[in-house]
Amino acid sequence: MRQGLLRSGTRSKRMSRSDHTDRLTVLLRRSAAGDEHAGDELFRLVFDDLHRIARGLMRHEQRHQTLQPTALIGEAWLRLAGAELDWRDRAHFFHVAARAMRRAIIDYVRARNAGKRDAGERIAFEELADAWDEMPYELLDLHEALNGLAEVDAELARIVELRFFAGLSLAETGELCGMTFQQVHRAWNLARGWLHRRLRSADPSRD
Amino acid sequence: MDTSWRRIRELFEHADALPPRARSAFLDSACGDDAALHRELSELLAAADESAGALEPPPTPIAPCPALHAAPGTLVGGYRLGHVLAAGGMGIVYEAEQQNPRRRVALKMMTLGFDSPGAARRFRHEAEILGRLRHPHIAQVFEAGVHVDASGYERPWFAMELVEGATDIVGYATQCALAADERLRLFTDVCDAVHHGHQRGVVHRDLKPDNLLVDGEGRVKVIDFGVARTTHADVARRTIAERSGDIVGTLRYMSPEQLEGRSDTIDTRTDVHALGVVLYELLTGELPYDLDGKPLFEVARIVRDDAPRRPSTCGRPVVGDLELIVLTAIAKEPERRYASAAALADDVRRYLRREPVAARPPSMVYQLRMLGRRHRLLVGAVIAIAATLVAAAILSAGAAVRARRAEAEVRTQLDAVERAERLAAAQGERASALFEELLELSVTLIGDFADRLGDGFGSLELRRDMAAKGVEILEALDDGAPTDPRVRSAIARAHLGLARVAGGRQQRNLGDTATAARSFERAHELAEALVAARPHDRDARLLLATATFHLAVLAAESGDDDGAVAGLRRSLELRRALDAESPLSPVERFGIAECHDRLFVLRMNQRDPNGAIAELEASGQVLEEVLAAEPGEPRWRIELALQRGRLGSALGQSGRTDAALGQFERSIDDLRELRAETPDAGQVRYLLASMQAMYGETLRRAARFDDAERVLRASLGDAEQMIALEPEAVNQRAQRVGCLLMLADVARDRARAADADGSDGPTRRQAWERARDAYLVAREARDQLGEAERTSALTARFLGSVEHSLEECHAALSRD
Repeated sequence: MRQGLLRSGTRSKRMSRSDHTDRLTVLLRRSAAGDEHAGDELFRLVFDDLHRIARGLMRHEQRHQTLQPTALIGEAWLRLAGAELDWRDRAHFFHVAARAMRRAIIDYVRARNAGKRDAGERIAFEELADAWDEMPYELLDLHEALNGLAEVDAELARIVELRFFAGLSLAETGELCGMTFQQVHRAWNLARGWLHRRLRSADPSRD
Repeated sequence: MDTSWRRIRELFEHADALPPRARSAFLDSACGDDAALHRELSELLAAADESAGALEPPPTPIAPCPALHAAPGTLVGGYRLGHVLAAGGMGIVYEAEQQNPRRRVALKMMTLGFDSPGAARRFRHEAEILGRLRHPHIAQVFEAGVHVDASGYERPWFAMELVEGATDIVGYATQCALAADERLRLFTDVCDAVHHGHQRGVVHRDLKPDNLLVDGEGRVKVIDFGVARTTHADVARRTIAERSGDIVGTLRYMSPEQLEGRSDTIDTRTDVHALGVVLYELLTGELPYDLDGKPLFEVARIVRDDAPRRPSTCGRPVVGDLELIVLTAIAKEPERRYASAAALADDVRRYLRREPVAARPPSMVYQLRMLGRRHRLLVGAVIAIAATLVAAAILSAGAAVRARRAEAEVRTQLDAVERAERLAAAQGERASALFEELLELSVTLIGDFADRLGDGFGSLELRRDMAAKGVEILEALDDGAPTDPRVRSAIARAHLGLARVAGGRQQRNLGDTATAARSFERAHELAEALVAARPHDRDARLLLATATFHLAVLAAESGDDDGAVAGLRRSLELRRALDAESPLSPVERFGIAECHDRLFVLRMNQRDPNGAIAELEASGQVLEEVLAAEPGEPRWRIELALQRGRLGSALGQSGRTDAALGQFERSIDDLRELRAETPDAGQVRYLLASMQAMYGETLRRAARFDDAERVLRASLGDAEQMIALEPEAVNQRAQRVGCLLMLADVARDRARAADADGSDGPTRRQAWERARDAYLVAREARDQLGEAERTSALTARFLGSVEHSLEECHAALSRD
């Protein structure tokens, strides 16, 4: 006789997700449903985790390895959400993570520009920010321009965040936004053109 | 987004999809006179072209590694590099020539450098271990070292046995059009090699066809053993960072634990998983999961959550035992896989000899969970039901309020089952494959579940209703699929569950003997048919053993001692035969102890204490084995406590009172301990009450009246508490009556003693009056019992004596 619905029940309970993940799930759901308070807490949770992971990555083994946003967010994902989250939760997570990453980088650049160089976690983001130095724009300008784009078309701004700050490929971005590859490709072109036109322009009145 | 922007975006996307030449014509016609719109779109299109490639996330190499390729002729260690044999994410393999001794080798130059002095040390250490792996099917590592290239960059390398004319194992099998058995033999060589590594503490970590080469003479060689570990933390970390194409080659063979980056859980069973995927591919030509073009997080999710495509559904189907072997090897949970590569090889060899294999199909609950992940919406309801039912069954053993709430919840769920059934029926008319799968799983789930209701905790009526529902659903389905053994076996198990709750004498029950007898007989009949059709079906044989056992118990209850003994012997025989073929699990083994225990009861009834004690010794031995297999398990501790109690009564009846009392005391101590651990467990309370009653009875026989009275009153209190919790439980009420009766017996014995030791008249009279009153209370309680309880042989045997005892009291009282 096969045994153990009862027993396998307790076993799976023992293996159940950590409290951390439970909390994440609850926050994701609430925030996706428009609960701003939950949204804030979720953001903090992911933001803190990105910092913690970045610190960890810098401290251990990978010192010579250039940090990559995808790796960082991938880690955060596996750690926070390694357990069972459905597709919608995952999409929402990546949106939040991209926003958190953007904030972490911008914080770092501002601190650097202000001459503040606290040790520890910032070092990690230095690596990240350096990785973007070959970009034709100043990070802070891009940040501002992106705020402008969000006012015109929030969806395009989210796509840029996912691509640029979370390091996702077009295909991944499309999947998370529920768009086909062609759709996301064109949206990306438009967003990039819009930002480029604005950043290229020296005219501050256009802000 | 305002309307003008929406229009801009729409037109932009339209224009963007056009070839550049066609754009201006499109803009002219689309914008018409709107010059501002025309200008806006032209600017944006131009800016998009101009910024192509900007804002891309920075492409990052894993580690700075300036000169990837070394030129031919370069001297590395004592080796002169030749042409490149292969290049992958982890390194480049060159053909190289060793100067002394002069021979050709394969030299693998790793992509990743060291990130710390510790890493370099670890590399040397591990390289040494690899050098010690000597196996005909492992490409020997001759030497390892660190090469400093022109830019001063340190790169570790390995010199390995060169596999001449190498083809990967899958390619080789295809080219030579090997038959399935030949493929399997080749595969067992791979397993042996991997096992050899494991025995020396080396996990390969990157098994895939590219690393399993077959040389010109058809010998398979495992290459790159342990190499993944020597230079960098682990494969999973690498994959997260690495996004190049060739990683996919590795991903396909990765286990869920690797993909989740749980490097602490990676062990030899990780290799077993990879071997399983290779076997899958070798046999079917396909891979278990469709991972092509999926983003990494999706890959991780699929491998973790989705059920693999069943080998039997592949274009080149693999069925039966071989399918089971493959599925066992690639199970998601390491503990479900073969414990070692050797165990996998053994099972493949058993298959090759056409012997029964060790792989077992996963339980239905497990399969349902897997299916649930894929089709959450469809089977979500069924899973929710199962989970709630179990939770409710456990909960309802506790406080009454919680029980009621749980019960209401379950009733709601039962309605949901009915709705789900109707939904499923609607799907069935379209004969979708999913429905078939769902149906089969539901069938087995319901059978499993109803079966388990038999020995779960919780409200009896609720459990009976759930089991009856299960039987009803299944019998209805049986009309549709009369020959499906799985449906038949599910029905049999559901009947067993129902019968046990209704009137199984092994446990608390509703006293519905008629239903119990009908269901046990039906289960027995189905099991006999299943075994007749498939004599080697282990599950069916176990089912038959169980049903036979329960029927024997019923026979004993109805006074058919010979029939009972025959049935119990048959059940024992079936179980012993199964055990001899392959060892029974603890739960299955427990069935043997149960048979001996019932035989013990029969021997006791036949006033054969020596025979009874022999049966108990047999069951005690089995129970010790079971407890040794699962130390601390409450269920087996309970059974051992019970067995001591039985031994106590056997000893008591053969006049060895002190030994008997010792057994009872030990048993009661054990049960108290268990009760303290699980205060809600009704079963322990019930047993404790019975044990105290038997203890009290033995004390009475030993004329220790004060002790007997104390113990029996405690038992009575427990029984009354149980009744308050669960008024419908028959056994508790019978228990209460039994306690009252035994207390009356104590009073009677005191009176007899008073007669015997020549006490004065009033004292004796008072003693007999007490005894008479006690019997009257017991009789009244007995008369309040339901019909079922009164006629049950157990209570009848035990309560019949009331009238007789009352007569004795009246006679004594009228004497004076």
